[in-house]
Amino acid sequence: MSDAINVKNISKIYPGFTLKDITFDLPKGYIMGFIGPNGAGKTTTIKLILNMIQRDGGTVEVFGLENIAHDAEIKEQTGVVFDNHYFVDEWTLNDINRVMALFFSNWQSSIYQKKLEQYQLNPVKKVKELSKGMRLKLMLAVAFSHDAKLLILDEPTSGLDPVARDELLDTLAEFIQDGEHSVLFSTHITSDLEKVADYITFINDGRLIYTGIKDEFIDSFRLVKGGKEDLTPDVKAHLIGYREYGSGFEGIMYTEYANYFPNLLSEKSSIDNIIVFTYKGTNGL
Amino acid sequence: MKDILNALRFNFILVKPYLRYYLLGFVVVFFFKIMGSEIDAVSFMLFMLLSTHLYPFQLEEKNDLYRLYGIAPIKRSVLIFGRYLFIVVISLIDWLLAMMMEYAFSKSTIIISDYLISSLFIFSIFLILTAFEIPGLYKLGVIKGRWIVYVPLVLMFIIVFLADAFQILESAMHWITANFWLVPTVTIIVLSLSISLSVRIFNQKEF
Repeated sequence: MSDAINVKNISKIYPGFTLKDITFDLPKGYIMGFIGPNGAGKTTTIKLILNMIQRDGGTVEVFGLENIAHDAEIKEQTGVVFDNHYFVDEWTLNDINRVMALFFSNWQSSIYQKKLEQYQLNPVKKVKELSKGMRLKLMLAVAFSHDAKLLILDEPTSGLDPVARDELLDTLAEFIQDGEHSVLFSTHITSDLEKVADYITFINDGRLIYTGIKDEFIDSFRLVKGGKEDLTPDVKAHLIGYREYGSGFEGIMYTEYANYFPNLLSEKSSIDNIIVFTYKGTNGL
Repeated sequence: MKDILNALRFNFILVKPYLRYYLLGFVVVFFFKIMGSEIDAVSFMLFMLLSTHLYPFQLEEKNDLYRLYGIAPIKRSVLIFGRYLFIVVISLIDWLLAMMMEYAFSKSTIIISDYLISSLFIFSIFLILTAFEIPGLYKLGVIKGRWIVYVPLVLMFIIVFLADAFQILESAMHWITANFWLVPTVTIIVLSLSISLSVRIFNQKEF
């Protein structure tokens, strides 16, 4: 099984924030959820993969090619969807067709027109006249029109209604069906990932917390609950993060440790809870 | 070369929203000419020329087009070449239109060859001065670096003013006319240095 993306120990140092030693592999034909709270370093990592910013350490390979040396070759085959569009507001959708044909050697106008029709986007409309959901569809149409093998999405679903989000998830599931296409999907709406992701990479405060198969990720954590008297120093020491309330507490613990405390109520955790409690634990909240 | 021409075409698509202001500008210049207000026509023409250079930078910054450049399979240096070529082409269009207008409205007989040489000289000087502004725009961006655009104009006026004040303007013009080959040579050298500096700045830019 070859990989679409190999990221090894990449680092980027900003004043006040450091992304350090991020490592993960996205196998071809799969969807990877890239998660973490705001400011964790997700966009920085994506920009490093796309060679939009200069890295301070590590290596990135896309389709087995080093990302700086083979920048153009990689981008010909990579579609990117940001949280907001990257076009001139005054451009019409027909202008975008002309612009993309200048940039991408494998641009196919006929596919672009078909995608616009499929997504019910009027080609004579201006970008500024489109809703958030329509702009997302426009970026997808662009990605599909140069036959992208890899789709990188950076927070595309924030601000979308549930119907539009569901449509996107269907599109992604269809995209990877042939086993040759892959998706790196950064989001903090983790319910989306529970539906479609095969792999998860979780970063927090610039550090890698987990990378691997989604189900193993979810299974490796347990949501534990107990009364006030159950929150002993030993339990606290094993909790990744927790929240106290009037009658007791709830928190996240590695599954292997949860078995040590049979008096605590233990249940399967959502990805959301894992992120929230890890964030609390890391930041001493 | 194909990529550079594509980058040039991209700049023309980029400034499309400003096309109506650009055409309107020519109507204003035409109007000044009809009214016989020569100084207003020349000043407005210069102002237009300088503003046109700003359009792609303005649109780039306003719409955060660096993200588009970040995902497009195109070298950053090609984008820079495309931008310089755009500025040269648009200046050439303005220059040709200005010449045609001047010729049409001229009340005295114009010797075409003299007229071509003098306007080509002004055009070259203008390109040299422009070459100083572009790296500044890439470095500072159009919001912080807007003032840079007007530096060439101010410099041009200062040079002419000083030359006139020290009574060397006429002799300088004679010397330049006698060594006219120097003008395109210097223009090419200065533009090449400017391009290389802009490429360096743009390559270091983080999108």
